[in-house]
Amino acid sequence: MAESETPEHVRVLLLDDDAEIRRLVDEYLSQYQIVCRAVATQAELKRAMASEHYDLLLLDIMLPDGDGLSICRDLRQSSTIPVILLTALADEGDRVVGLEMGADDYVTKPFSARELLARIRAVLRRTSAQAWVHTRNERVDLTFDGWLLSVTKRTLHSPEGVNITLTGGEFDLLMALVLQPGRVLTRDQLLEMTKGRTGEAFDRSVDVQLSRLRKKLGNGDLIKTVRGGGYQFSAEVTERKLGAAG
Amino acid sequence: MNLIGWLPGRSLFGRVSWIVVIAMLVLHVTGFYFYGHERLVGNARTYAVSMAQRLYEIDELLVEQPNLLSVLQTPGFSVRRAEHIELEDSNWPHLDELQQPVRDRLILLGLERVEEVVLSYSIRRGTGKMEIVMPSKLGDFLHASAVIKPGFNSRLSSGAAFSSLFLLLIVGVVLWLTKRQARQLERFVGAAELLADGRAGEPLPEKVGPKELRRASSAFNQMQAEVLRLLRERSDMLAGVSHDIRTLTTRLGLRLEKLPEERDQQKADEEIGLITNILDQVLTFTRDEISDENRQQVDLVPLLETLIVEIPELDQTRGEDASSSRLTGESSLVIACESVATTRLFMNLIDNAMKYGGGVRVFVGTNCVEVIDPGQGFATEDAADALKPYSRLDQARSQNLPGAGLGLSIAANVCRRHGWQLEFCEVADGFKAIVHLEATS
Repeated sequence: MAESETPEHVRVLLLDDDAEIRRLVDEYLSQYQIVCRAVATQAELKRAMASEHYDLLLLDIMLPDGDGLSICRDLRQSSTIPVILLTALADEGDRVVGLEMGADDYVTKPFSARELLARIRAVLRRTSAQAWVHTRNERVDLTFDGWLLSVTKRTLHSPEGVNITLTGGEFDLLMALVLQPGRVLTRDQLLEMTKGRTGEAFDRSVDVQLSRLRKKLGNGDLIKTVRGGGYQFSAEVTERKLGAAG
Repeated sequence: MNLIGWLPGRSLFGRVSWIVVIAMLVLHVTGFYFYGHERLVGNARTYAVSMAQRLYEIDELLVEQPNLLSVLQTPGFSVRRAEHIELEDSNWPHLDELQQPVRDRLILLGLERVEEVVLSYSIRRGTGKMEIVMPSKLGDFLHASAVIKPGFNSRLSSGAAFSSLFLLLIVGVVLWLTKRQARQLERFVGAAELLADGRAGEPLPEKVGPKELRRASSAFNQMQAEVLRLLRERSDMLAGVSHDIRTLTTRLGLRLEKLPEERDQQKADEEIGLITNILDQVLTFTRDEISDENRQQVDLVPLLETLIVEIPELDQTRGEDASSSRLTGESSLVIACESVATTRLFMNLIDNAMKYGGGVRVFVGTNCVEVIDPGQGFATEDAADALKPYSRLDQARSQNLPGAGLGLSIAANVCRRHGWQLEFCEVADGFKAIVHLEATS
């Protein structure tokens, strides 16, 4: 993994109540030219954010003075800063709540420093890429041709209301396609847009995932293969405010 | 409405209904019998008495005008003189009940030799014939015979119809009321069954229904709240422990990464992963005992495909091949279930197959899912032990395998909650875990 992947002088603000974790994360990130400021309480976090600019926030969910989830929700009222939640809970429900509260990603404790670094890079890349911008803060569900794609829950429901399970890679791929309907995307573009979150896409062929995705979408022509090496999402996509039925 | 379904013989409602219906029928039939008998005897008595009176009056008349006899014959009523008593055989069983009233009346009128008055009543082919022989004042006997309709009169049969209708009405109302009571009991049973399946429903209403049921509902609500509180407490405690251990393992992992690369470093990393796994399993198992996940329609085929594709041991570059050769059977199997829990169920079965059998194939039937591995599995009779929490069947074999021994217990919990059957059996080329699903839509 090339170090040049991280832009110069990225500033990260870490909120965690454990002093050792703060120190260790700080030390590790510093090796990769990431400036990390670590704070222990919500009050310190607010002071830090008021005085300086940060590119990304790492938030522990369980804190002595208020939980990370509500901090995240409050933050979203005024700021679009990317947020990665650090969670000691592995529960599916907590993860979904975290994403609904406006977090961009989550890392489950215990995490390795390498994993954390990969996530930080992925989130920064995603938030700077046009495609992802408008889904970040307006948390909506996407519908196309009767299908329902929930961005926060990361689920897909068929027109008949049946839950169709997707792998992380398949979901990211579908998101990439659905967010740019009509546009022809090359394999490399898709690879670039989908790698990162799960890391799996590095190893797996986009074509294999696409063929599985097509099968799960009922083998219709929602995803068209364009001559000359590209893919195109053919259906019309509409956004639906989160919390609507379904 | 299906009447058979509405009258279940074994339920409380069914039993009460049957008792009520049978009691009503018995009451009706006996009432009908006595009522009808009373009417029958009463009619005959009235007739006999009036006939005797008429005969006495005719006798008085004949004393003065003996040749009037021929004039006194009317259709259905004939009188003749007789030298001695001769009567047709009586076949009416209640003749005795007529004798006394007739004699009483004749005594009242002033007849002597009352003890010589005899009567007979016979019914043949629906026609009654009543005869009275009475000593005449002229020394011989007067013999009268009359034809009468012995059957129920119309007033009697309309009364019977009315009472039958009334009975039906009462039975209907009783059934309706019983059903209402039974419904509350059914709700009680339903709540208990739900809790037994590891799902807590709404508290039962405590202010409606009979007193006993109110008390039972109130007791049940208390029990359910207590069970939930205990489970939540245990789950919270474990979550706390888990949080602290995760903080420590996070530190440990971060420290490890600072050390120079060594063989043991990777192992230590793996061990941190195992600690986390065990924590996750224990937490999942504890939380899973009471589930609040909503059910939704889930297609099991993409779910299973996703699980197979994500098995880390498989060569992922051949993802397509791996999933198509390992997943066979139906191309779609939609079922209403808790999606996350169901994923966990099959994830655990597939993990087990990989861990103990070294490989996995999944077959999707129309109403079942089979997870097959090429290993030896365990003896079928040990299945109950295998499902117990924290149990490891083969100590020697599983010593080096990580996990808390909860995988199958969690799987069994998910099955129990959905009403599915989890079965294990040995097959020719390995070992098979079968999940029998309930009727799919």
